[in-house]
Amino acid sequence: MTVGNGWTGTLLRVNLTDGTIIREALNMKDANDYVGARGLGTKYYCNEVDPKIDPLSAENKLIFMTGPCTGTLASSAGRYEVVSKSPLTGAIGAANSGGHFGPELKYAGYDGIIFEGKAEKPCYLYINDDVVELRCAKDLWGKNVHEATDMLNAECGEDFRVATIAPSGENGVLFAGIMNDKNRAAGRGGMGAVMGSKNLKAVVVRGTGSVKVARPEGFLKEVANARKMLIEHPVCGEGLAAFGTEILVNIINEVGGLPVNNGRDGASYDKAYDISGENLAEKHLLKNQGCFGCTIACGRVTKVKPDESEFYGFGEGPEYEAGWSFGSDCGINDIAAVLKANWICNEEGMDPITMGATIACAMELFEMGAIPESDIGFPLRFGDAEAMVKCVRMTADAQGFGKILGQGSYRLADKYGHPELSMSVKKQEMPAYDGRAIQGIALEYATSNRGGCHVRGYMISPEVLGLPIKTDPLVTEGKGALLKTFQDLTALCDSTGICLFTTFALGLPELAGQYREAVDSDESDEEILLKGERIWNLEKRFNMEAGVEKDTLPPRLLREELPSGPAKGKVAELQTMLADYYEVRGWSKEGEPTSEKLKELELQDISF
Amino acid sequence: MQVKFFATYISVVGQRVIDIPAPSSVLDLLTYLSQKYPEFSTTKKLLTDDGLDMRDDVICMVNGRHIIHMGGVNCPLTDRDVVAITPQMAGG
Ligand code: SF4
Repeated sequence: MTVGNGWTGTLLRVNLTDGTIIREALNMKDANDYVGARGLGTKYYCNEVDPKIDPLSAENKLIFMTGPCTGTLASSAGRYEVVSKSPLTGAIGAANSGGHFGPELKYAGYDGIIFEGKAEKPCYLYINDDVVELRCAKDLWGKNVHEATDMLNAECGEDFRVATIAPSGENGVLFAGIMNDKNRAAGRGGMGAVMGSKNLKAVVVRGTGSVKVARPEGFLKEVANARKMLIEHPVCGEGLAAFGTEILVNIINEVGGLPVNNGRDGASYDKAYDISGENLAEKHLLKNQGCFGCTIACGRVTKVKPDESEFYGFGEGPEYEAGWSFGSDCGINDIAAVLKANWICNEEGMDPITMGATIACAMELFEMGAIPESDIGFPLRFGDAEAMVKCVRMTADAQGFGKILGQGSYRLADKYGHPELSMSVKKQEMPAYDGRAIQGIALEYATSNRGGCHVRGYMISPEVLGLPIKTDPLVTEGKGALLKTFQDLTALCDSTGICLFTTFALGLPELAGQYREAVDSDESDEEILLKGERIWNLEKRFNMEAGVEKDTLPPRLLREELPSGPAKGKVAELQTMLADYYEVRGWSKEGEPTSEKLKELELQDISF
Repeated sequence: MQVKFFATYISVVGQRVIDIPAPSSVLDLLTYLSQKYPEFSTTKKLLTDDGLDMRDDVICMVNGRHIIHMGGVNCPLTDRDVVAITPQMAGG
């Protein structure tokens, strides 16, 4: 592989402590072995940072990394990844985002940026092709995402792309994200808090170059095929554009997998329609919106008029996950309140999954008497939309009880004596599917390298949606092998710079086909998928060295039977599935990669 | 028997839920719907061209269980059942 094959070949290394900015050659061997974005960013991070590091210390690093397909004509290839150790979980944090920022960085001539150290005063990184400099961010500090983006565009130019944090990142909210193009998020795991700890407010970039692929003719053929498949697919060609990801509410509720009231009251919500994609499209959708080069365009532009609700406003989203976290998880069916909470999260750079799930946890703790009203300042019961939105605001503003909410549900529940009521894995909140009703997603949550997460191996596809095959959500057999394939494929997809949502329509042949032609590879599909497995095992090794807890689930999922719905009486049968999964992964019974497996993946020489 | 519709199927039927006497099987239900609502036999087909099976891009659940796990289109229906029908969808 050589420079020009999907890569610019140059990385920026920015030392915030002494202000030096160095251009260095991209490590092409690692680029080949770890694909790009999530994989390559993690490899650089593992090479350079002690897994035991305090994520919010100056010694930590923060890496922005694109993939070889980012900014090319490949299908939905506007993605980049932010990698660091997560302050929320202590595990590897890798957050993927779309929009236009990633492609712009490549057009400016850089595959990625490695931030080191800590600036003495707030600053931002300005990139205008060859001009790269750190600038003062004094006036930007304290501004939310939309304000900061507008100010930076006014200062630098309207055609600059902006990735910025909000005060949540400045104040150490452990689930603060980095927002680019205003509403696209490197959302989970607190990458924004790492950025804030470095006194780095934003990165602005403008590029006038282009990205060259290795075999343009073959590449265009692969891209044309992929795009045709996407356009003709019922999900990628029609469903996601019409209804967004919120379309899932009704069907997940139908299988009894939509957690209600922090999962306390099961996973069948009788008011699901109110917070569904259908209701959203009918009442509040202005238009759909796409990221760079995306034919799917799943984004929502939404509005609530002042005469419709006290929660009026305008913004983007929500995704299905936020529809649940601020909706049924908090016992709320007021879609305007859900929209409002989600808009605040976008403007204030906070992960809506963790935000909503943390409020839901606080509601349960309050209702059982574990949190006194005096700590919160008002009653916080399930179903109270006003209190829910107030909690989001208080967290963004680091006010009173909001400071505790800003630490996520695990630390909140632990503080009030009930860590078991945090619906989290490795201290990150699980998303919108109940692992008791959908067994494979329970296994996915437990084994995810970044803690509770649905986009590390989206088992909902085979278990509920029948993509690409239909398996029984109540059955445990075969879930280990299926999950391993999904996890490896996802690691590969995230690393190419192509959006994961394309995999609803595309499979390994189409993904590998575009990658191969971009980078000039003659590897087989299987050899390319093996890179995904390598990335997964590297992340796992980092977590082991960092001392991240073993794979498990909250006691609620393991012991409390679902009270109703199609999965009534079920718990997550984790131990059975874990044993199967570890065996398929070629790991020990304790869930650690064996020396043979590490050798097979050429990871045996990685030392931390 | 209650039949729920999701996504674009709501506009085909004009309602989110209908109440009808239970046909004997899912196949009979899908055949009935295809005849009653023209779009279900033209632009948004529910059945395969031979009329003997459900198309792959349709999801049908009986009491929250996908019919694939309940004997497919031969799954028997009673008046107490709740059926949900939706076009293939995804999100995340
Ligand atoms: S599918 Fe959605 S999230 Fe993915 S690139 Fe397209 S618009 Fe962005």
